Amino acid sequence: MTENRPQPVARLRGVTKSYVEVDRTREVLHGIDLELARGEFAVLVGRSGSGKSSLIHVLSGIDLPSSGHVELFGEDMSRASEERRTDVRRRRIGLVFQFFNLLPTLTIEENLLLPLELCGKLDAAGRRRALELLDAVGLSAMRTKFPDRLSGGEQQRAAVARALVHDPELVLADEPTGNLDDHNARAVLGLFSRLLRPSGKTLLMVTHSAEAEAIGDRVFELHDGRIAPRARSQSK
Amino acid sequence: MISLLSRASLRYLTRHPAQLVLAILGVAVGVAVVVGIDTAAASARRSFELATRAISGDATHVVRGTPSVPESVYTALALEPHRPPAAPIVQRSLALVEPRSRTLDLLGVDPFAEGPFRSYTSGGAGFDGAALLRGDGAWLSAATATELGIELGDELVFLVGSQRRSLRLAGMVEPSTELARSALSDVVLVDIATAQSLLGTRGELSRIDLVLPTEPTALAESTARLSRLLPESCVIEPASRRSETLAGMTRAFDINLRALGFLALLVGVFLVYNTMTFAVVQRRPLWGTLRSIGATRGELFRRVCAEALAIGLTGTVLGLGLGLLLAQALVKLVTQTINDLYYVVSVRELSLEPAVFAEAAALGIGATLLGALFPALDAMRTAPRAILDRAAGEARLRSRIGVLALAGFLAAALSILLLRASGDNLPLGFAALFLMLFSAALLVPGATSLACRVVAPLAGLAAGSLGRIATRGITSHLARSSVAIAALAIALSATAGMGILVDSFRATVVKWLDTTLVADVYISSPSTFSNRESALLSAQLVERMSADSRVIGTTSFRDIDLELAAGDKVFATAAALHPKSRDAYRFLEGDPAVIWPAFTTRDTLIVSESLARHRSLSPGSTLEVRTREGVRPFEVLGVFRDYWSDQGWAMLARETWLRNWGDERISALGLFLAPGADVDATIASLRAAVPSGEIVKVRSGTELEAASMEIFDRTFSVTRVLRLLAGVVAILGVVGALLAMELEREREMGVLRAIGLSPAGLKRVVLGQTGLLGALAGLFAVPIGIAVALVLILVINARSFGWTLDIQISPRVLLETFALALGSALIAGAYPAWRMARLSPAQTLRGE
Repeated sequence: MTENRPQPVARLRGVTKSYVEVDRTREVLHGIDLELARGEFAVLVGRSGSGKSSLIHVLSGIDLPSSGHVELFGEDMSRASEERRTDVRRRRIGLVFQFFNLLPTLTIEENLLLPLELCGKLDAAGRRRALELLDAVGLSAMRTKFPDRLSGGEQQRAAVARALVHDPELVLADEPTGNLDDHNARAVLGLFSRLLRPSGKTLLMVTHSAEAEAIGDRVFELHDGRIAPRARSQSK
Repeated sequence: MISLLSRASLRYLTRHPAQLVLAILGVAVGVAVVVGIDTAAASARRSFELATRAISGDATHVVRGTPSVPESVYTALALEPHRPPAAPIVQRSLALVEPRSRTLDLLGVDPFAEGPFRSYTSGGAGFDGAALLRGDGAWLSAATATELGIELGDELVFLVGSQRRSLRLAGMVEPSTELARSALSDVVLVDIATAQSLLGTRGELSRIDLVLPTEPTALAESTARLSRLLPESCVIEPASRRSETLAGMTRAFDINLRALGFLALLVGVFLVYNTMTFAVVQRRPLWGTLRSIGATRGELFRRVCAEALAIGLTGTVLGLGLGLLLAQALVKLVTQTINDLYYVVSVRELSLEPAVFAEAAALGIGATLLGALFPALDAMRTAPRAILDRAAGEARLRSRIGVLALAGFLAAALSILLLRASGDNLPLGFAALFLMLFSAALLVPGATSLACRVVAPLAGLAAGSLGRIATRGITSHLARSSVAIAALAIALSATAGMGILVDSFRATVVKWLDTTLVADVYISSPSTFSNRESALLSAQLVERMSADSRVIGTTSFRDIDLELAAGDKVFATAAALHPKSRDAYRFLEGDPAVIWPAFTTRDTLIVSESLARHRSLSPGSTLEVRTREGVRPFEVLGVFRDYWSDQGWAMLARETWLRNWGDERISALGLFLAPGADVDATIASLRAAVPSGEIVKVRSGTELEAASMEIFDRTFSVTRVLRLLAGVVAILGVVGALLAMELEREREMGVLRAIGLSPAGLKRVVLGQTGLLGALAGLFAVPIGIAVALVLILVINARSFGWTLDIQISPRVLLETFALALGSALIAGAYPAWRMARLSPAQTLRGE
């Protein structure tokens, strides 16, 4: 750690997360320490139930840690109000889900415009950016369609575009290729590299896929709720 | 052992307690309304039958006369060598004013003739028949005396006509049978001479009870022999005739009450359908999984039906209990209306009729199963893959919108045909009304889809993507939203229809009273019935009032019952009309220029619209009326507009009355004052001039109108309660529907939260959607409500009561309907909105 090192985008210190179930308390994250630097692509791997999604939720402010600190863009999110966390999320974070989660009642274009509207950027420039992104993910022709008219791969490309449309500094992707075939998975990973790298955005991607692992600058492994750096896989 | 399928379904229900409770409540309220109304009406009917039967005792026949039976008839019967058992009776409903206000039946009997008729008047414990003969003595049942808080020797003050008259409690009867106990609870028993003296009807009897042979030949022979002893004004008729006639009077009232009950149940069926649809649709993935692992279609169908049966049974049992509580409240309103308009009855206890319970249970369970049938068939018929796809059900509905709309138009056309073809048949009129509501329900999905298409761009302009999400959420969940909208729209259209009916009725009556009540001052006795002046004014009072120097003209009325040759009765008024009063009559048939000259000189009468309709009378037709001189034809001269009585009534000239019956007493007086006379000052001095001991009402036309409208409003209090209940059922339905709809959208809402929508924003989305749903329901309820009102006014009311009403569609009722729809939807949406806003997005998304 040096004095002129830039401030990390995200910093987790001793984060734990536990869920109260019917007859027991289940701790899914144990003392997580993690820093994500600006422009960094980090990949988080781990088996099902290892706490990967919980980590994404805590990091995005969707959920609060049971203990420890979550700092986003220099602000302690673990002490922030619900409103503040929502505000940070809508302006500075983009989320991609395994099951796409496009709003079924909005067209593809409207799905992209929604984050802009939420953060008050629905102006001509914002609309232009949405169209450019649609073009970039190859969905210009589908912009007036509703999500149920698109294939899984197309929906996920639209979801990636939606996550980027409001120009977030941090993109969190939870198994973005987990529900796609190889061809579509490669296309989505290609989009991340193509659209995020040049603009210096930070990505934390949770994945099972070795191919996805390959695009990361750093790879972490989450095992039984504990995080540890991992050596690159052979596929890199 | 409970099967795994059953266990899964049970767990589903218990894990969605709010939906389960709402479904059960929906069925329960629907059943409760039916049980409540039927039990209240049946209790009033049963009390009346019991009282009539107990008072008639073992009499098989009675001698009746018009206006009464001369006492000499009884003497003639007593001298007949083969005379049957006979007992003279004087009976009248009287208002007890002290020790407390209550209506009691005064029953004057001859204790020596009572033996074969009524056991409680000749041998009940504590009863001393001979004591009856002593002057002003009266007997009450011990229970009634306790209720009134009086003891032996205490005074009972009655209002007889316009006069206060007293009796003294001379004894208490403790009847040995339940029937007698029930009958005597509202009876004050006196010697016949005491009754005649009290009522001022010396030499007159109300009837003579007879026990005639039951064998037909002997009966015919006996009737013929006795009839020869009777004057022309008297007739022998079966003892049951009176109760049949009186019960027949309330038939239309009963049918209308039952129809209102069914309406609430109809809304309940929608609610159950709604709930079961949600319960099935929400578990599409589960059905899909079960089908994939080998559950048969039949098993799924039976599972859904078993759930419906469990909900139906629980709701029905709860509804039966709630219904009894409701009946306790409704019975007061129902008996109040019957007492105001038809006959005196007091209900001491609810009559629990197994048929009512069986009918309500069958309706509750049947309606629930019917509501579940289509969702169950839907779950059964769908292939496993399609079941797993939630959108498949919606897509199916969207593809069927056209077919549904076509079916809706066909059903509407059929209901119009049925209305036209059903003539005067009231139940068929109701069937057509329900078919019309059903047709409206079929049109709702199409109308909703169309409306949302129009609203979506506007919502987008007003509220951006969130507006679009709210709007399109309705069309994307059309299978659920349209049922919720239909249930709300139909419940509110029914209440709007009733509101328009009551408004139209009220406006018509106000207008009619304004034109009819032309006299400046009205004088009448406090009457047992609010629409009949059955009590008489004293001659001294009439003379004093008419002689006031400010009075320049009078109109007098005598309310009577005309005995028809066929044995039934018609309400009538013998009137001496001031020219201004004559001018106030609006004839629907007949020419006033022809009517009035013939009215006083010949045996003629004019009839109200209701009577004309009930008895198919028109100018030129005749009514065979039993007079003092025997049966005579009375020609109908005209049909006038009138709203005093749904049974209708006839008016004959005082001259005609005197010619045929010879009774000069009057029951109400209208006074016309000299121009410039101060009405209030005149009323004050007339009140001061009322002879002591007499109680009369001296009122201005305005006061009489206000009193009439008070009774009008009281009559519709049952309708108001039922409107409220239909509204409650609708709100329960819409709460359930919205809750289930929003629960189904949890993930979508979770995503919105995840990408940055604040809890407040989410609340706005949910409330926007539920508000739009309510607004659409309100929008649809307005035209449906107007259609319902037209059917109620032009068909149901006309067939039930025979009245022509001016249709008055007040913007207030329509706005109220819309506001109620919007308000109830917003209230109903508050919980889902609150719940969604508190929803943890992490929890929702964790499913991934």
